[in-house]
Amino acid sequence: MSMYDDSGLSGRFAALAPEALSGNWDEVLDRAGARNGRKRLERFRAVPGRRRRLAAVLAAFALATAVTTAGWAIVREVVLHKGFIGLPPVGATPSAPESGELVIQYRLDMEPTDGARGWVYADGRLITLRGNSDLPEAANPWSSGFLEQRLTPEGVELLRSEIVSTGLFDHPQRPGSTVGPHNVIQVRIGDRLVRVQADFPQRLRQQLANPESWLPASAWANRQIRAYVGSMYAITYGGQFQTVEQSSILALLPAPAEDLLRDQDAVPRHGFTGGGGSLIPITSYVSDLTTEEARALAQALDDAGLKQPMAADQLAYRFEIPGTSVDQPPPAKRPVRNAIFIVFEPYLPHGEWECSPCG
Amino acid sequence: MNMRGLESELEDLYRRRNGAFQVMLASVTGSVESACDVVQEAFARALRDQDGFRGEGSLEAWVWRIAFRVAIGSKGSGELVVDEVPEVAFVDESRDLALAASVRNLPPQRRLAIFLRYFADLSYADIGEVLGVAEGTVAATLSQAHRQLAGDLSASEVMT
Repeated sequence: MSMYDDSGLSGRFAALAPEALSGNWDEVLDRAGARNGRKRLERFRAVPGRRRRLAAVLAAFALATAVTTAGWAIVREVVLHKGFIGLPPVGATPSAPESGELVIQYRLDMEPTDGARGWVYADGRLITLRGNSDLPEAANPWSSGFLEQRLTPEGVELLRSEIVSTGLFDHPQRPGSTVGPHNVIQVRIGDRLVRVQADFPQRLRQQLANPESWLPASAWANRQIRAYVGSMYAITYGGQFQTVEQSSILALLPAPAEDLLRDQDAVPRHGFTGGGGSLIPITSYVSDLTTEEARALAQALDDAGLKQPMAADQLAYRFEIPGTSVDQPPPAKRPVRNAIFIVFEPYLPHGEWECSPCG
Repeated sequence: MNMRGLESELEDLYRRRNGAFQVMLASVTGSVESACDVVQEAFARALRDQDGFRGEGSLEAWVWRIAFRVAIGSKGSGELVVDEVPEVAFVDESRDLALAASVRNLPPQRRLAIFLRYFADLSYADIGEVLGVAEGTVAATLSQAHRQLAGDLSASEVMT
């Protein structure tokens, strides 16, 4: 344990904490107009401005249109030049082609950003997901959303050769010999994807996290960042923190949502919840929906008043099941109501989806 | 929950956590006095707008979001929204200049998460609920913050 873990830092923060003033609940009631039916008339005094600054990112989508000619027909393409979380705006053009052959995949812990994840395809697409990013194209300060750029064949090969030239892929690790998804690179060598988990050289990490900073102009077919718009969504639903049978979950959903999901195949997904060596096994279910079906599902959940508790980095819904009581993963001690979560993630061109906020 | 029940829960929350609210919010407003005013106003707004609490998530997280909105004094929604990352700083840095300098170097998201952890004494799940991000994002953000602080502090403390 270093002195910078929870206990070390909490002591140093405590020494810097100002002394709180005594509270006065009656004054709160007065302000609220809750006592004696009085209404508080005076307007709240604004706090002096020294630290009122906001690091705010405008959430509005920057929509741009591009017109391309395909034979004699004019095709109108709606391109989003800013990432988004969840479902794309109606009319947004999906990334094409719908599927692609994966050439490189990386997931790296990075400084100063909170991780870099990327997927490079043989057709030149470079899809990235960047956490805690100051990127102007990021969806918000917490997540970039899935972003897309286009490389030339030369650009794909440049990236691939930078990875392979580390020598770390000469003796690939046996399947199952890696732990967790962090600091992992997969690269296509010949006809197979070779996966290595390692403390990769800082230079390579920076190159992958920031390909714009070093790839030459000839490596880019389109360097401009746009939002990646998927064609299909993986809908994962299950219990939290105790497994709930699929049929029981569906019965708890509003009717239009239940109908939508009941019509789909659902693949059980066995995983764990919790952390720190206290993992609870849990089974959830995954169904594949088109964007329009996913939009209809989200609409049904919205119409039923279900809340989206994780709006900044993932489209998700969660509601508690009345009358239930389950243990939370340690260290939490208090039992809570079991809950149902429903999470939306876009499929990537190689046919897999990524848990966006899983850091 | 009926209105009377919620009012009673708000009062209980206020009595238990008033100090933590003030300490945390002072890092947004710049003084304990103004933070105290923010806390009073935030709880008053919560009392007035009890319909705004839909009961799915913690009452405390809801009040924190209102309190941040009051503290940053901007217009718009009554609660903090995900595109906003309030700037936080120590009120009095003189008691630990090295830590203060290292914390200043953190990106705003990490700085806010670490203040919520140590000044507001919130769990990862609660921080996620206040900021509208997943618990995994909080864990990743705090882990990166710890690593960056460890590097900065080691360097500065070796030099001094």
